[in-house]
Order: sequence, then structure tokens, then C-alpha cells
Amino acid sequence: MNSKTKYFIIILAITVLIIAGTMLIGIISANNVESSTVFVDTTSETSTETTNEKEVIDIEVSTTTEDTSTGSTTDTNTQEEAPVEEVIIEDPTITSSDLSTHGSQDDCWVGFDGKVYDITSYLTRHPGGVSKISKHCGTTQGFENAFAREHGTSQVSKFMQIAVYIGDAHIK
Amino acid sequence: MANIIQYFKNPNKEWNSDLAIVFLRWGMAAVLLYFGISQIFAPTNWTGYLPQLLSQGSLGVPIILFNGAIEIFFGLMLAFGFYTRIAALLMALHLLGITVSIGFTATGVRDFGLTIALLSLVLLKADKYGVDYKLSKNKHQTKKHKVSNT
Repeated sequence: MNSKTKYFIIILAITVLIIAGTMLIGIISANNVESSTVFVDTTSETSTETTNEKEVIDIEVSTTTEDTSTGSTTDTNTQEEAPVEEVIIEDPTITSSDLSTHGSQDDCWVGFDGKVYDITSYLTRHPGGVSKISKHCGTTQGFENAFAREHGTSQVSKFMQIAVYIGDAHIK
Repeated sequence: MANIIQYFKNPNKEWNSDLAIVFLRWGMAAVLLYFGISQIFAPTNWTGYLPQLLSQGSLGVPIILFNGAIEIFFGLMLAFGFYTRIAALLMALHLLGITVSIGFTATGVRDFGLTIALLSLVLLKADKYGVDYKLSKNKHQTKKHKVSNT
């Protein structure tokens, strides 16, 4: 066999080995991410409950009826009979001081397009490196400017997929 | 120590140009291998870098996987010093395309620098540590042997 062919086959074999190995590791880590995603989902549900984000609450309707014959006022709990009232509570707003408390690599919130997102879990997976984003954690304008400068609008849909919505930004 | 001082004093003095080519070759190989492996490892992280025409539908991930495989292959070619000029030229053109599509951003400027580094590899000779040098030497010796036999 020709020496050139030998080297070509060696390089091709190493390429295939690297690709196969990387894919294998990728699949294994993807499974791990899936299990952690369940955890994230659970957390987001919990946070939704605590922050009452667009939460519809069934409230007990307590009506006050006045007994006209006796003139006394009595409270009657008519939970079962009364129509259920729906209360929609607006999205929580995040102030700039709230946002700045989440300005580290381990707890990274950023403001984007008037909303605040948690991108902590994505930081280590950013192709451009953690430091590119981490320095903008806890900011709105800083992050938006850097994002627009690096990606324009090409990565907005990707950002929306990976970012966890926290609330509306209320920046003064 | 005196040699080192003399080396820095005299810019025309050459220390080891072959080693310089190896540094450049391995440096570029490391970059290509890193990006290739990253693309194979998490292709969805890279689909956003594709032009909109290519990233539409389900084409994005296969294109990134193919691109990653190509970058690993040519990265290894540079690492071994096997057909260095061809590998460097193809990767330089590839990076030039990326540079143009990204535009004048931090990433674009970085890729432009890498393109120039690859182009310099195209212009340089084969270093004595690479496969190209060994193969050409063997070829030269075989020719000499044939001539002496005749």
C-alpha cells in the first residue's frame, strides 16, 4: 500500500473515532440534561406558583347577607353555590436592583426586550465561552448591546428556546 | 543566555523555522479540532450561525454535523502535516466564507485572523516534523536510487 494512502486511512480512522466518541459523549450528556430539564421545569412551576404569574385562583366568595327581619348582619359562606370568580394576576415585574442581585456566573439573569430571563444553565454551553455572557449577567442594556453586536437577530429564536422567563423588566 | 539575547537583538537571525511552522500548524489544528468536536457534540448550539436559508427546516443539524466532521478531518491533516497546503487552503476559504457571512463583529475579526494564519500556512514550506516532508524525502530518495541504478 502506498504511504500516502496509509496516512490518509490513518487520519480518516482517527476522524471517525473522534466523531463517534464525541457523539457518544453527546448522547450520554444529553440524557443527563434531560433529567436536569425535568428538575428545571419543576422549579419553574414552583416559581410560577410563588410569584403568581398569570395564575388563575379560585377564591372563596364570601357574601354578606343582611337579615332584614332581625336587622343583624351575618356572614354566610356560600362557596359551593356561589359562582367561582377568576382573578388573573399580572406578570411579576423585576426591578433593576432585583436584576443586579443575579449578576454572577452561578446565577445569571439578563434583561432582553423588556423581559427578564434566567440563562444560568446555558452559560457553560455557549460556543463563544462563558465569559462573553457572564460579564453581562444582571444587566439589560449591556446584555442586549452585546447580543446585538455579536449575533444581530440571528440568535433571537435560539435565545428564546434556552432562556427561562422570570418576569417583566421594570427598569427605571 | 547569550544566544537568546543575540537572537532578540538580531531580527535576521533564524532559530528554528521548522518549529515555527509546527506551532502554526498545531495551533490551527487545535482550533479546527475544537470547533469540529463542539459542533459534533452539540450541533443545535451552532445552527444559529448558519445563514437563514440553510438553517430553515431540518437541514440545520445535519449541515452542522457535516461541517464538524470536515473540520475535524482537515484539523487532523494539519496536525499530521499531511497535504498541509491543500488542507490549509480549503480551511482558509471556509473561514473566509464564515468571516464574510458574520460581518464586522468580534467573531468575524477573529475568524479573519485565523484565515490569514491559514493562508500563511499555504505559503510556507513543509516542516521537517510533518508527514509531507517525510513523504517528499522518501520520494526524492527513491528517484535518486532509480537514477543511480540506471
